[in-house]
Amino acid sequence: MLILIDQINVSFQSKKSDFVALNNFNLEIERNEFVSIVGHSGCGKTTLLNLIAGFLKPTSGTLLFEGKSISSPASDRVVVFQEDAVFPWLTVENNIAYGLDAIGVNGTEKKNIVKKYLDLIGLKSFADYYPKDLSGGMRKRVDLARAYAVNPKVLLMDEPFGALDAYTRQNMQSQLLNLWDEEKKTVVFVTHDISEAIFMSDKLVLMSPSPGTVHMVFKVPFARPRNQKIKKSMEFLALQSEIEELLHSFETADATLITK
Amino acid sequence: MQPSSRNKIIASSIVLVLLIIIWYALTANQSQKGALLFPSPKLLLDTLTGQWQDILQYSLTTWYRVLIGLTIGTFLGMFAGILMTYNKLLYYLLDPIVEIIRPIPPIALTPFFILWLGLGDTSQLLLISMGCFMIITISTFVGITNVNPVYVRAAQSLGANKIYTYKTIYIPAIIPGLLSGIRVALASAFALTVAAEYLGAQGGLGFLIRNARTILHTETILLAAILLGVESLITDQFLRVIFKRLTKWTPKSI
Repeated sequence: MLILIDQINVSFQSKKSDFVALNNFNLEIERNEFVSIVGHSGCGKTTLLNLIAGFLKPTSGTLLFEGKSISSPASDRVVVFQEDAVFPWLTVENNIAYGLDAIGVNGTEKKNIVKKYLDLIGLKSFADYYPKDLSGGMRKRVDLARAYAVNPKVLLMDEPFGALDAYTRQNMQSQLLNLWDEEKKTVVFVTHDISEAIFMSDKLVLMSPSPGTVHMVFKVPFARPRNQKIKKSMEFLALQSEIEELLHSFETADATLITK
Repeated sequence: MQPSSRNKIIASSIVLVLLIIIWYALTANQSQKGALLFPSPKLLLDTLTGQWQDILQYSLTTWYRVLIGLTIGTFLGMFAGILMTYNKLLYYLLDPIVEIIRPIPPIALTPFFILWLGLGDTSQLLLISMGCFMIITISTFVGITNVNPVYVRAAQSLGANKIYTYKTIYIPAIIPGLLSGIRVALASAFALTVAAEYLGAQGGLGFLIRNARTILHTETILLAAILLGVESLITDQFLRVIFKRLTKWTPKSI
């Protein structure tokens, strides 16, 4: 087991009241497992990611990464954000090298790693370009390569493709899976898109809101490598509609709560 | 050269030439009193050719003071602005000092500088760099607090420590915005330099203006003013070129 989340509570204090973001949250994530986190906005998905990244500390409970508690952000747990986080003042090549520079990987080793990922994301001829000259999808590929280059133990992805158009998004899903098949990593993947979550993951965690907690965990049975066609299979669609109905039921539960 | 910048140069030159022609036409055949109130270009040219060595010397003195003061003020200001954002404690310590000193026109403190450091260049440079320092401190501080937090988080998560984050994220990110701060500081540096020279420093265009004033040589005053404008314009263009180099990465270069 790589990550153990045991009875985690996170609450944010404000002047008027405490907001409980996560309540009694339990989850185990295995090494090299692709886990998706699905749920409504405000159910604590990003809070969970921030905990594992080390940007945030739990109010109570145990959070272990390789058996140790997490004290701060580090390059073994790299985050890929929804927003464009590719550094605009660095070229594609230097963006990919950023983490390597930060942790002190130099010389031929650095060169080889950067070259390898430039190849893998298909941007070899764009090495000297600045991000302003790339499309949104290309920038996201640079972001992925930059995260992969530091060889993290876990990739934390917060709706990484949320800002892309539908076509680029599908393309990026396949690219990420290819990269992942090539080099297995533990991935925690937050998304709103249920079909994307099923398509990508081994395990899908459905969260229920207010306060955020694990509602149900689904094992995703499809064999790998996967391609976009499986999204049209009966099995896939059945799973998708099951999860969608559950999500919908949270909404109506919320609505009755408000009318009361 | 790009067509747009060539067009700009052509347009600017036309305006300048037109202004000089109008000035020439208006001041042709002027009386002695007229020449005193608004000297003609010819009078200015005569002054310039008559004492070009002194005028060149004074121009360079002023320019030198402006550039050195601006450079010192900019680097110290960036450093102070960075310190103010480095942690809460430093912010609490430095913010009141900056807020108290900021509204004081540095020129008001000139007597102190002269008492402490004498009439030489050191007290001038302290005055000028203090004026620039305040502007750049605030500009750096505001720039850093406005850096998109997603860049900082991405850097930390890729393994960057705090100092490395400043070096590779905050400083490059604030460079484009800093240009406007430095340009404001440049204007302020010219104003302070001339004021200091006017108040007592030896040499410089302000000194020239002061001396010309006592003997009512208005053509010398106007000439000095124009030279100040020219120096400011050249410095400003030079800054823009440097910043254009530094900010190749921005979507639309400035």
